[in-house]
Amino acid sequence: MANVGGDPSHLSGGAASLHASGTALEHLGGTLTGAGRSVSGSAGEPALVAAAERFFSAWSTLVTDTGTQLRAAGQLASSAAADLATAGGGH
Amino acid sequence: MGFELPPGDPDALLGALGTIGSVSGDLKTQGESTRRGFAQALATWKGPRADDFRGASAGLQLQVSEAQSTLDRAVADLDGYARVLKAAIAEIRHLESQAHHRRTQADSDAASLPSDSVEATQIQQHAAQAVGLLESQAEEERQKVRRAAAGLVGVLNAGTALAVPGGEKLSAGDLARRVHQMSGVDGISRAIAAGTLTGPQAWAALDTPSKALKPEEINTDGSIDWKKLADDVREQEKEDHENPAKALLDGSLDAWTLATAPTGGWALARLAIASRNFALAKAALPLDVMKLSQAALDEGRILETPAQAIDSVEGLLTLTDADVAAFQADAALSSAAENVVRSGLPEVLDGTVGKLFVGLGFLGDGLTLADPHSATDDKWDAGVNAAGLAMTTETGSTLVAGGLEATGLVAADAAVGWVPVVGWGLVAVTAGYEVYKHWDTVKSWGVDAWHGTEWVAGKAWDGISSAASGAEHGLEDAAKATGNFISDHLPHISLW
Repeated sequence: MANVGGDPSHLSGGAASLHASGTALEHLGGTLTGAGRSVSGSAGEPALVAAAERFFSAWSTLVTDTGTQLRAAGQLASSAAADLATAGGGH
Repeated sequence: MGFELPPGDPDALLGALGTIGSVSGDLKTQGESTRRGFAQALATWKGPRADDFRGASAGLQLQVSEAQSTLDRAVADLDGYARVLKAAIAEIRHLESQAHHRRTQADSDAASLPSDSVEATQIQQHAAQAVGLLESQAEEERQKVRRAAAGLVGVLNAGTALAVPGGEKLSAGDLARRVHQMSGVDGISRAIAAGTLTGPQAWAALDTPSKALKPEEINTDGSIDWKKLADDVREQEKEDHENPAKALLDGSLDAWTLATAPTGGWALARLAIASRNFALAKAALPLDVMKLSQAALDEGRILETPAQAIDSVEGLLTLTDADVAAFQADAALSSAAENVVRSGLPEVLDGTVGKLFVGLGFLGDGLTLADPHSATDDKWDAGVNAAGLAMTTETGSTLVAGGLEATGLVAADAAVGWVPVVGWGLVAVTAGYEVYKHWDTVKSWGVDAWHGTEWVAGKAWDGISSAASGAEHGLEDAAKATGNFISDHLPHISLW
């Protein structure tokens, strides 16, 4: 790829960190989905239940998707590091 | 309706909120890891796509920050609602018990009397009236819950609209699909797991976050320039305020339109919309929920009781008796304040005089909250008053914003336009508390704790003094007296 230039070890370290954060966020999104269902199930007032369902659906999905996006970012950084290492480093 | 209980299970609700509070804490941790990961990768990535990656970095960090801060707010307000619900259920049960006792007593009293006697009839009539009154009280309790729920619907809808503009009108299922559509991650999870994700697929998944912020709102290491972002959001809000047609247009934009805008910075309109939505929703929130939600606003932790919330502040920050006595007896402060009062109270709180009073109000509220001898009710009044100052006045917002910027904390709050409550009510005097809570941020600047405290307090003071600049002679004296008191007494405040 012609889209890199830099230190492969830094890029690899950043890639691993992003991948780990992404995985953690995907897990947190799942936890949030479950907790959101519990909130909706115990809130009582019908209008509040509906609002809570929407709120937690949106945010749990967004957290999960952000995790996936971070993993994609990690993979891009990882690929960039690999390309750079193949090219012998440098800028 | 009698003594029917309102629907809902407050204990189960509080339990679920505890879990969400933990998720929020973990999001904060992951947000920091994300910042470090991008910074590390970008430190030496100099290729042509580095700017795209930097933009995605800031956009994703914004998403994590928004999620964390929005969940914190929702948890705090839902916590307040759960406590209103719990109190209402307990009260209605108590009322029902009283009614039962009253009926039993009446039956007992009338038992020895002829059933058609005037006295027996009166006993039963009085009992029926008393029970009717108790039933009315039960209905009032149910009304409290309904009002609280209605207020919470507004807050949650505002939070939903922050994630997906217009999302408050969609079903939960449609919302999830819309978020997937916005984030562009459909199908790539499997590709990542299988190791088949292609570069174009990965870049496509970063397309939306990469366009969230303007390049000038992004630091070189891929983090967000929160101060610039906060300024831009405020400017956007101002433009919307001055141009209702533009505000209407912004408000009508759905997420997809915003996300596919050709230029960067689409998050701005979304944030400005959310800011307005939150302000409106908060203004409609019943006071009892607002009061109780304070308890959950300390670092996103769910505190059991208001007293524990106060204890948490007191545990970190204590004023000596001498500090409190000095404030109460400070001749310069009293004299200056009296002069201001004599010169005429402001008709509008945000007038020049009002600005000073807002500053003084923060100072007084902060002292009341921090004074270990203040009554609990006084502390809640001070907290709510401070919150009111912060939320309802331009000056209060300015002071709060100043405190946020000073502590580098605009991250969570500028993003959604919230004006937090008790913590920021303490801006003038308890700046040290904020330094403590966000010690990691302060530490990263290489300043020690004490100097960080003084610096933040100085920023708060700058806000007060600049608000009074150009004021009549008496105002400047009062502003100086306030500042002198802060500088004289802040060193005595014990943080740890």
